[in-house]
Amino acid sequence: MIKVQNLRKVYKVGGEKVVALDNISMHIPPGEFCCIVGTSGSGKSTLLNMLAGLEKPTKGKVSIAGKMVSKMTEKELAIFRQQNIGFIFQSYNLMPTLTAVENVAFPLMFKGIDKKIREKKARKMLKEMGLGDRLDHKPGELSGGQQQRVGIARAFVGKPKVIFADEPTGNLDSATTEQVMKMLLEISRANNITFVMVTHDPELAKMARRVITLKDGRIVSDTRDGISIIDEDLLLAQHDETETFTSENTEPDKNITKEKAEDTNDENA
Amino acid sequence: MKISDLLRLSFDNLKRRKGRTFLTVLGVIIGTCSIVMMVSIGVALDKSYDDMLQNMGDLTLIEVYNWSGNSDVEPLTDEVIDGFMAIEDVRVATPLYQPRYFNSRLVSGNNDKYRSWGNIRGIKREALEVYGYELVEGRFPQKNDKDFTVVVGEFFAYNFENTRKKYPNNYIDAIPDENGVYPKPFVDVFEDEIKIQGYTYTENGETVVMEETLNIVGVIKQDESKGYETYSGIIMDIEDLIALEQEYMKKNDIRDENKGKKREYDQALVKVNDIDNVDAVIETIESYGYNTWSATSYRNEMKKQTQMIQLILGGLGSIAMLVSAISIANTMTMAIYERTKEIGVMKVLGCELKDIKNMFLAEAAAIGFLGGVVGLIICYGLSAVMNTVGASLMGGGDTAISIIPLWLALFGTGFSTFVGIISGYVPAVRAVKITALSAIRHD
Ligand SMILES: Nc1ncnc2c1ncn2[C@@H]1O[C@H](COP(=O)(O)OP(=O)(O)O)[C@@H](O)[C@H]1O
Ligand SMILES: [Mg+2]
Repeated sequence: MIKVQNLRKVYKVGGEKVVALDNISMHIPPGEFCCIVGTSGSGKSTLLNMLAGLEKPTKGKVSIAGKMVSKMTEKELAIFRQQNIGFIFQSYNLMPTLTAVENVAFPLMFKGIDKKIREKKARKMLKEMGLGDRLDHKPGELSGGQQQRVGIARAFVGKPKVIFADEPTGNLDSATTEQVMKMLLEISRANNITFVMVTHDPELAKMARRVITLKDGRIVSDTRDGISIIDEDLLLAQHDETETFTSENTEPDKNITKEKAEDTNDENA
Repeated sequence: MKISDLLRLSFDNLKRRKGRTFLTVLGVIIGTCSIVMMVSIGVALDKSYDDMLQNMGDLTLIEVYNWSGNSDVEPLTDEVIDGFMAIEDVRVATPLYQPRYFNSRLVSGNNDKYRSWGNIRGIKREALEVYGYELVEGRFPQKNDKDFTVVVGEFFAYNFENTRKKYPNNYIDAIPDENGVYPKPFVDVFEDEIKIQGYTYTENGETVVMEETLNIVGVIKQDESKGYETYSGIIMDIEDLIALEQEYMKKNDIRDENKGKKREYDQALVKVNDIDNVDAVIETIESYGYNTWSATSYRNEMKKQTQMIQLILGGLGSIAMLVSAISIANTMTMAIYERTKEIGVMKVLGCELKDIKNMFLAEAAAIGFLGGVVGLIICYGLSAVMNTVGASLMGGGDTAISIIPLWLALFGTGFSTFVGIISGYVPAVRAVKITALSAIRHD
């Protein structure tokens, strides 16, 4: 579903280069629940933003459902997000003037869905999440946990292919965090949605099947059901790579990469 | 995104900032008011000029003279005047004949006791109707009517003096009583025999040298724009009038220096089918070398003047509109700064760029439209007050100081909406450029 190839992101801060991400390659298959974990400043948000097409990589490619997100224009991205992507924010980011139902229905409005239909869907979604008695409340009248559940409902209501979430439990207490996390796992499994979530909490990340750990902008571990998959995943990710990529790759861990790349090329030849 | 949703979103946003929206709309109200009021004054001015011109003369009538003294320019003969008829949009052309040697009076009753001095106008019989005279009674003379068949002005009968009575009983005034009924004049133009007499002065006073009986078949409505003859004159076929003069000259042994030559007239009248074609006809006639006069020459001059005044007034009004445009732009820019995060969130949630742009444009347009409509309502009020106060100051009269025609009302609201959209454009484009990342960065 999501393929990342040799992603690199460099920020220029006052003439100095900050390498936020380097040499990131991965593959997240459809329906997988994936946690990106790491200490603060390790590049988790940067990676997620580039996966979701909110930022352009300095180098490398991101594709979702076969579409090259990293090459899209702003206009194309807006439509792509509308059709395929849901997003959950750490600080909820609900519209303060809209009720819970209207907030959940908000992305459906962008799709041009009729008010009656979209609000019916939103109501159903909110009821499923235990907010049946808060339908017409404004965000200001809801607790943090309730607001985030509205935010989650908003991400899921359109049944997108992929949902991204940046520290969705970051502003919640531990009891609520667990509740929300279980909810995320359950709904994405039930709807077979690919879910990519960023967290700094390794314990929380363990609840996911797939865990990618970042450190200083690099992947230091990538596990599925606790088993490292770094090699086979790279193989998958590099399946359609070009030679330019191989020659450009002069990083310390080039040995593995290069070998795999050459294998691939031989196969293709 | 549906238009209905777009508009709802825009209105919700305007409602969120009621105070600021109100102030911005107020600016547009003032702008709209100043433009519409200024133009309305111009329109009223224009109309009062037009009303004035209506009384100055028939706007579709051209008087033609030959003042050139240039031998290349043919005198105004019958052929030349008939030639004017061939010009496009000319309905009729007729010579106008004022007798040079003809002292005449009108008499009626026993021993000619009722007398009058009628103003006689000679034009072609077939031109009468086309010329625009309106009948009050009777009919127009026809081709096969006998000689001296005429129409007379509306108050022709009241011009007769009863020579047997003393002032003030010798005249009956054409003044209606409180029921609007006119008094009965001394003579009845249709029933009584009315004669025209030519006379000369001798030692014994006035001596009648000739006499003809008039066949009055119609009375025409008084019309200041046409001339005094519509009040109390006689409108006679030009050939009849010339025949009368010829006879008079013969009786008095006055030599006719034009005898045998083609008849030349001092003046011709040309009637055009529409006001808008008058200028073109004048141009054609003047290109032949003749001189013209028409009430439209004043009209054009005045139109130019009022247009100038309207432009100046409108320009003054536009300054206020410019200020309000700046205020709309400012409000929208502020709104965008405030809502940067919100716009980012909308983008992340899949709102298309054009919808974001349209949302802001709709907000700006709504401010403009609202200001325009409210402004216009105020304008109608102001206009009514000005006209009432103005009328009482100028001692009655129905000349309005400010007129708001439909086109101005439509223009006023249309323009304010347009200004809103224009002012909102740059902020809207700016909103589109806000990155989706702002949703996260502005935490
Ligand atoms: N817009 C930016 N400009 C400059 N540096 C940035 C920017 N965004 C992130 N960084 C830097 O990139 C690194 C990774 O940041 P981030 O992805 O936010 O880390 P995390 O989400 O894991 O805490 C940090 O060193 C951060 O300072
Ligand atoms: Mg982060």
